[in-house]
Amino acid sequence: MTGRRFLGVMLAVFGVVILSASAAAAAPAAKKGGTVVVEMTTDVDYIDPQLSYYGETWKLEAATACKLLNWPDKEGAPGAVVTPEVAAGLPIISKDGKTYTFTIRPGFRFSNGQAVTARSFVNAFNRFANPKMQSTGIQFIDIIQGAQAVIDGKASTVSGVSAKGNKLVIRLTRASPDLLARMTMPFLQAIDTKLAGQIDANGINEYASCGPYYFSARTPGRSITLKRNPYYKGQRAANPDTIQVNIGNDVAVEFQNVEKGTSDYASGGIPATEWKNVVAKYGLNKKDGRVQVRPLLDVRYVAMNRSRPLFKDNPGLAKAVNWAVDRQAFSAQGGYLYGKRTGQVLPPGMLGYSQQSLYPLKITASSARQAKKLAAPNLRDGKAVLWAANAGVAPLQAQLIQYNLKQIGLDADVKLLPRAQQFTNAGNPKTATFDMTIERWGADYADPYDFVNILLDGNQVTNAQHNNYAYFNVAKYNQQMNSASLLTGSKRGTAYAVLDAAMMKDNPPWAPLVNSNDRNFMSARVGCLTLNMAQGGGPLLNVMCLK
Amino acid sequence: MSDVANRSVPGYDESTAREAALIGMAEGVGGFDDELGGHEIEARDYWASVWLRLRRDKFAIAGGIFIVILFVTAFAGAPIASHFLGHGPNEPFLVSGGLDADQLPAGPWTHVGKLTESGEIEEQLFVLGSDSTLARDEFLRLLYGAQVSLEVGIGATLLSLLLGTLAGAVAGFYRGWADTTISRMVELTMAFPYLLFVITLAATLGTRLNKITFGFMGEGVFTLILVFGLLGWFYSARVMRGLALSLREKEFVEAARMVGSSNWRIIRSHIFPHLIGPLIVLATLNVAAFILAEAGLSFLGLGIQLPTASWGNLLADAPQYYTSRPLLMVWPGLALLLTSLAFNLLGDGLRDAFDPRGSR
Repeated sequence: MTGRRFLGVMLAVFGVVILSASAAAAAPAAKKGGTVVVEMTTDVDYIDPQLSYYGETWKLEAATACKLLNWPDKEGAPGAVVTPEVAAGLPIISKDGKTYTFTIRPGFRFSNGQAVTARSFVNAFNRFANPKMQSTGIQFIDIIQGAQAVIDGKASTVSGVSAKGNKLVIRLTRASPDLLARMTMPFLQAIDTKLAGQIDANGINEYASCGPYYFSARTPGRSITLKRNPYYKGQRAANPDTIQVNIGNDVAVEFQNVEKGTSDYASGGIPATEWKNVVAKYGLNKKDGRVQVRPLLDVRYVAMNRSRPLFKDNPGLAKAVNWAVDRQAFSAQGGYLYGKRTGQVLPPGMLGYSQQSLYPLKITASSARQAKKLAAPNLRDGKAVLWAANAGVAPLQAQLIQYNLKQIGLDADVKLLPRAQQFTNAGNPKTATFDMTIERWGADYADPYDFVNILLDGNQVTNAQHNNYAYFNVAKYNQQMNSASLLTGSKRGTAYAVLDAAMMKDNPPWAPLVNSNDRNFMSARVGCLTLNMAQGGGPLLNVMCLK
Repeated sequence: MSDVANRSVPGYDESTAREAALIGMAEGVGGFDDELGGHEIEARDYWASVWLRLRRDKFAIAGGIFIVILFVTAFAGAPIASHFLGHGPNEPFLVSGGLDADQLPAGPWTHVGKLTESGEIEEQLFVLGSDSTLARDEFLRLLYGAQVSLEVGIGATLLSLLLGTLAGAVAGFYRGWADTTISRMVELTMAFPYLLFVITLAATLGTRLNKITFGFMGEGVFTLILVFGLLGWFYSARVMRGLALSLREKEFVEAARMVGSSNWRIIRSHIFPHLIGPLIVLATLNVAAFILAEAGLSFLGLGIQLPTASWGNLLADAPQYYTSRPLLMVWPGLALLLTSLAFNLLGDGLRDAFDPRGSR
């Protein structure tokens, strides 16, 4: 070896060492092992993948599910790109946009060792659509051929979803620009053959899953345990050995536990009055800092039930409520960095969002007069039932809305319910005995369909379970929603913006209140953190590691 | 000066003098007038003796005075204070001053602003500051909360004592199958896990009964009275049964029976009057227990309905401000402590007063 060659080799070796060292410094390997302890104030609705439709459950399912397509475990723009997970690549889409062909990547296994195949996804579609399951989100698949027949009980399998070898073919009744995003929903994760045969509207509490973790135990109202899937060979992180969820502590206790490090993350938040203190103490959004706050695609609102006599064909009263609610005071109950006041359906940052000034974001003497004037001829019997959650700041917010309603002559009886019970009962026509309910909706994926059609399309109000808590069913708007959902790009955005403004101005189904932030407070033990900005907020628990 | 001499002067009347003179004549002794320098001795009746003994117990008297003040403050003072302060207990003051710069409840003696219909800000006083981030008047809510506590305490006590006394008196007087049935019912009620049962009843009955207010009670008060009353009668029933068992063997009951008095007349005219003393003692102790139970249930969110103030729900809201506004826990806590203490002290004093042979 000549001197020049030797020097060249040495430089190359040196270069590799430097690059490796700098790469290591830039992205230190996450420490694996240990138990991440999560606190939840109230229990989740279900952990059953075809039933759970609650942000708190989805935080857990983000760690347990494997899907055809998924959001990368990253924040910001890189985390907002739909990416193949079990699918070998993006699907081949037919020219008419109605047929999607996926190729299944080999190597994925459930926590019981069973291989994930195209059939695992077919089973998920069939179980999801099965009317005996009474799933809430079936509206997301009604565009798939044969799905409606299963939903209506006329067929047992969704004819438009078929498996052949490692190919999965999905046929639609019409083109759907947001289908790929819909595929990221936990409802459509792969399920094993045992779960496929378990049809139970009460949900299954233990099942094998094919993501980095699986649900190893659940005691309703007490705890949920996630353990690492021993057969997982995918690319996603699986840092902690165990994710332990403790349920039922008061937010004040949860805060203390996270503060002193016996828990790592309070999923239900911390006392509203403490946010300012923790930001002052630990700083805001520092790299690997303990307090991380991000804006969410989310809206908190009062849904006004059109299926009951008070609000049925009574847009005057619905407008009066929008003039009466004190959005500033509502936001103040949530504490520091709670969110931004709003009077419209779509949140900022969402395609189709266009700022409107239809209703006051702050109460003034003239807005109070306007509210009374609008309400006076439309009060009917002047009595209402108002539902709210029974934990955190929700009871305070309910009392505030109750007071606001009293100012316009509406005597509201507040009923506080556990959160999961509140929205489950509100979405069931048989148990929806409320006139108003204080709700929150976080984006399932970043598309206006997920807010406007899912929450306000009247075609779903007769379903056994749905999300149209306002029971809003106006033919004109149903038609416009359907048309908007077929559009793409800026036309889609414009159509939804017009729809949002028109509904809120002429016939408001809700009194929108606040677009809230995703506020996270972590223990000092947490060493690495990535927030799930694409689907519901909160930390990605599989990525979280302990120091 | 002896008690006898001290108390012989007031209450003197002609009939007493005549009886005394007759006794003196029969025994061949000279008239009292001569021996006591013209003063007559009056025999103390039962209630006078009780009052005399109670009067000596300074703690019991202090408890009684506190309770009287509490009643006046709660039922007369609260509306008067509301009138002079210019706002109600459920009115939020979020426009100006109800929350401080950190969005925390305003501290004691804060002037807050109220938005009038004309758009002007009218200044009003919060004596104890705001109750929560809803910025309502803590002082007024404490006063109105006292109404609720007393309504629940007294209502539930009356109901439980009514049931307990009736059941106990009937069981003790009649014995036999009535006693067996009632005693087994008492044991059955005692065997229930009381707290869990109360929570279940409050949660299920509450939805139907909370709206019943009779025009003066807070929402949820009637539910609590019913729940506490229906589950709290067994202790008084046992006490009353024991007393009735003992009383039915007394000579005056025998005498009444011999002159042909009916059972109901014996119970009403001869048994019940002897139960009044123990009943009063039980009542004072029960009121304190029920006030605490109300606070406990409201703390759990099952008692008084929002936005009606009760000491329990004031206490329930306070812990979220424990680092920034600890006084919010102190006010309702202190009110509960003092009220419960006052009723217990009065109850103890009354027990000693009604039963002078009992040891202190």
